[in-house]
Amino acid sequence: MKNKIIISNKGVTSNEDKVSLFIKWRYFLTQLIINKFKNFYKQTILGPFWAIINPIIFSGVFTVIFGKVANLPTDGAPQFLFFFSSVIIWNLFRSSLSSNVDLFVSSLPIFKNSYFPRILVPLANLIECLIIFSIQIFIFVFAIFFYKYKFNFTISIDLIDFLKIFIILFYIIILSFSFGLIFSCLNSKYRDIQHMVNFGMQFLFYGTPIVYSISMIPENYKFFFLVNPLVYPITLFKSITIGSQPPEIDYIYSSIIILVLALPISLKFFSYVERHFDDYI
Amino acid sequence: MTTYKKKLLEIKNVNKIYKFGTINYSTLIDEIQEFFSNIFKKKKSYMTRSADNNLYFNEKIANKSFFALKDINLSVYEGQAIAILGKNGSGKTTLLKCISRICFPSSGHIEVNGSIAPILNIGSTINPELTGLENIFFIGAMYGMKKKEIQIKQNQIIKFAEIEKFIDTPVKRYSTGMNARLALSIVIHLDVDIFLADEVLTVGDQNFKMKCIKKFKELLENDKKSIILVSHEIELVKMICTHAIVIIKGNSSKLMQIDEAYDYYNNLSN
Repeated sequence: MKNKIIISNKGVTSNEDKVSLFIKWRYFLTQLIINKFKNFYKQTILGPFWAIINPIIFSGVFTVIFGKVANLPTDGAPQFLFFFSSVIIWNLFRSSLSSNVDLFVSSLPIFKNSYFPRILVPLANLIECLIIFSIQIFIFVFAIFFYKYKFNFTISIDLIDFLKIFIILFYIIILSFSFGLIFSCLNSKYRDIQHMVNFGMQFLFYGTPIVYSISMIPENYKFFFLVNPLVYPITLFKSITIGSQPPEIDYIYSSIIILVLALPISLKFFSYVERHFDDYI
Repeated sequence: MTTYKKKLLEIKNVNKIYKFGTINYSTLIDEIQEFFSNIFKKKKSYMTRSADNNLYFNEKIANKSFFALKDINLSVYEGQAIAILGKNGSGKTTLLKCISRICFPSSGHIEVNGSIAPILNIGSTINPELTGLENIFFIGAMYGMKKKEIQIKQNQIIKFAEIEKFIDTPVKRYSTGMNARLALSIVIHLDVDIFLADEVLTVGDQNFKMKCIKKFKELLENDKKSIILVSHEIELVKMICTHAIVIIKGNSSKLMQIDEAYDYYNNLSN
């Protein structure tokens, strides 16, 4: 039995629920993800190895600049591992946010030609970032074991820590996804946003304890770090994986408040813009 | 003899309003004011209906907006082929977009009782980096096909597009004609109830055009599909469609026989 739908200015009313819609369109989702990877690695020789090379080179550069030259303390962890864990968790956030910012502009040809649930495209971007991240974390685990045998670096991770890591990853995914959606919606009308996001990312990169340890935050600047929702999850991730200083509990509040606000707002906003983007893009 | 026919599509009093000029306001202050007035004030109605059942804009937006579609009414039953005639910019494509959920009507509603395949901007969805075969799977999936369905129809699609030799070549090396043939051939093999075809018959050479028309006729007669066709090529339209509506500056005529519609349309343009 085919579904009956009614299209009006309020959107589409149909008797299909979200789950059955998702099952119906899951093949398109896999096609979008495959397509992204194919586009990304077409006519490259190293192909997916770039996902591995990228964090290694970045953490190498950070080790030289922030570790050797600037001599920032790493709370006793090996410098390369310290920067590696920072880079992969930051990259997950940055890539999954910025891949969605010009969503409506870059997907315009397929959006203008046929109907499918628009949320599939940002979802595919997110899953792509997650796949790349899971390759990188595999390399990271490998690097930890390497340091364990070579340099007697010890880190013990129990089951609770594993659970914590999953919660942190889940948190970062949801946060970057909802901010990605909000920015993509704004960007569909005001193209200033994509320039602003570039700057914002730079500010956030230096405003979060990524290349430095949380122990270095001066007391009178602490307020700026308290409102930054990334401070808690990223420093917690680093403290679990490489044993740097864990964050104080004060930092968790802004993380929770911003997540609780951002996700519903972004979904609501996105469903509004997907109805109207054709009028003003 | 009257046979029962399922109503696939019903368009009721559909209006679509667009604004003239650029969208963004001139200053940031204007933009912020607009944003807050949207949040706090009640939504004003844009239009009023006068006594003679005609729609008018409210004074405030009258010189900034126009009707792309105005009070469109249309019903489509299964097996029906309807042409939409009209000059450039008269709202034909907007109507198809509204039916296919790409944009939404400003008021009125559309009831859809089946699946729809919009063929609007043929060729733009093709990803030039991928090969022909990869594009078949991607576009098929975009129109809601399952993997198995595409695998079954894959050979039919390739044969119809006449690109057997080039199927594993990236599409960026295709000629324009091949590109368009591939796109159309994927869409024409979809298992949907209504095809919305916008200027698809301009694709390809005479041979391919006739093949498309034959395929459309098969779909209409054997499979009881419906087609809404927008085209400026009179002879080709007459071969497929039996009925037509004429849209003039967003206003539509009633459903007419195709010859009658063409007379009406030609009289208008003279």
